[in-house]
Amino acid sequence: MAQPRLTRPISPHLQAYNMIRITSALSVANRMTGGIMGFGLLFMILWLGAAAYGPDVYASVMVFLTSWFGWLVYFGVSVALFFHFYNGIRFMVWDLGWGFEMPQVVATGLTVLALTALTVVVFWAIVIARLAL
Amino acid sequence: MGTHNWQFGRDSGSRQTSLGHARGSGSDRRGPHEWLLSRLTAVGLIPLLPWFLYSLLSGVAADHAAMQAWLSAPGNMTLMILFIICVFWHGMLAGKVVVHDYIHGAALEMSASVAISFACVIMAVFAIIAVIKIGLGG
Amino acid sequence: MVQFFLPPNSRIVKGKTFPAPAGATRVREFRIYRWDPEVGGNPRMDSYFLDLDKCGPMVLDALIKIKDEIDSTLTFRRSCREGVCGSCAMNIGGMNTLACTKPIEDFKGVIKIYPLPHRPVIKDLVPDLSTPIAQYNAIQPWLKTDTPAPPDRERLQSPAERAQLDGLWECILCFCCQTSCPSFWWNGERGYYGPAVLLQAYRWIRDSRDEATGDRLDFLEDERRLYSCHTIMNCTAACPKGLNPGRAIAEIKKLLVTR
Repeated sequence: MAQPRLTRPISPHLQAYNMIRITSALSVANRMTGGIMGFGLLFMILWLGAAAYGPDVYASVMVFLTSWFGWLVYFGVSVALFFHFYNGIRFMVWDLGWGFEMPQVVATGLTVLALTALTVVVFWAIVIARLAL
Repeated sequence: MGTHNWQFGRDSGSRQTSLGHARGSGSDRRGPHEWLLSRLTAVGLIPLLPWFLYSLLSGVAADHAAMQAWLSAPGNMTLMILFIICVFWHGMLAGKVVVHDYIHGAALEMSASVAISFACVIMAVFAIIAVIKIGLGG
Repeated sequence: MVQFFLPPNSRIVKGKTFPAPAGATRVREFRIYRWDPEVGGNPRMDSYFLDLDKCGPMVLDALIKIKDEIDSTLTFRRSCREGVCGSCAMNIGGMNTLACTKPIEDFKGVIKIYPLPHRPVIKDLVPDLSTPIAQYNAIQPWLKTDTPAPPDRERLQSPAERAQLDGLWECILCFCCQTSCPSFWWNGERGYYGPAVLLQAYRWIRDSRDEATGDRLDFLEDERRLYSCHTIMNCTAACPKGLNPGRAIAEIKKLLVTR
């Protein structure tokens, strides 16, 4: 007579692990920001494509691209982009074999976050200054 | 390594040994090629991305004439095409890695991977042709 | 798709509570994962309130006290109680570590204890580690040579060559790092060898006496086995021996590019 098959539970993972640690948190953020930029690329395609179809198409598409929704996307994409840019450099430094001690991992992670915030502020300050002119 | 019940062999009714499963079909011997390419495209983007953002900030998107003036300079056109190649290549490699990590099941995984490759190549070719067309003032 | 949530049979339900003895002065709650294959059902979290003034300093002391004095059914692995055997690896307070070397005082409030993450549970805090152990076997963790050993002495290594193994040989295979790695959670059963096994693989790649370095690198040159590592670095953060699996994996990747 066949025994009912024992189904063992899987021990908790995301449910038990502290994922807010700088190691896993920045890694997850790197993936998510990559995904956000993939979405942003659709806007770049739209922008370049519109320009290729001539001034009239460009002008009408730009109405959408400079709408509040457009600016919201650019802001989101810019945050993702600056984070991914700096964190990507952090990854490449690791790939060269440097920065693996835990204090360095934490310090470079915090540096990435600070540089991202700083660059976002400076970038958008320039954008707003240009738009105001 | 294809499709193995994520519930770990023992419960899924498989009688394969753990060692047999761990060895699987062996190493794919593809080497560091794709891993390296994603790094190389990223290295390319380190100068190209700031250049692209600088261009946007200097008002190249303001109207069609400004776009045309910007891309008609051969240097700008070259950098923009390089930017497009690096961005989409990097994105394609990354997208395939994400699919590889999260999508279980050989058929679905392969389909998603192929879809990402095709989408990236199509978008990149379209973007490059757009840049050339704008720059040459067609 | 990968399952980010626990399957229905693995979701945790509320369990029993064992209050502190009367007159306890310094009470601390330990909330511990329980699952018994002979009872079945869903795993639960039992709460044990201990008087820390009557308990040793380490988390393992608390577990042994519970098993001795409160609930003899609590099951966990332990042996050396000094961080050498790697048996008492578990998830304590959101991080994988050895219960025997982790002071209770490192935590504030409730201390939650789970088995090592994303493994089939054998019982309570005992996880099934057959996948990582089989992967460890697969990398052939022994000295491989064609040259016979000299008849009159051991195989020699210069002090500098021996120093290359520091930070690698100390690994006790507790699998704290292996089961801290999200990549290993999603892809361990699908061919990713994980930080502990890759650190061990690197230990043999680095050994100047070994004559199979190229074969070992060939064996790892795989999209899953090696390149599922995305330098998340949970491994290095978790290692209770202070080793650096993240760096060992990066060194393997470097060798594959430059060889």
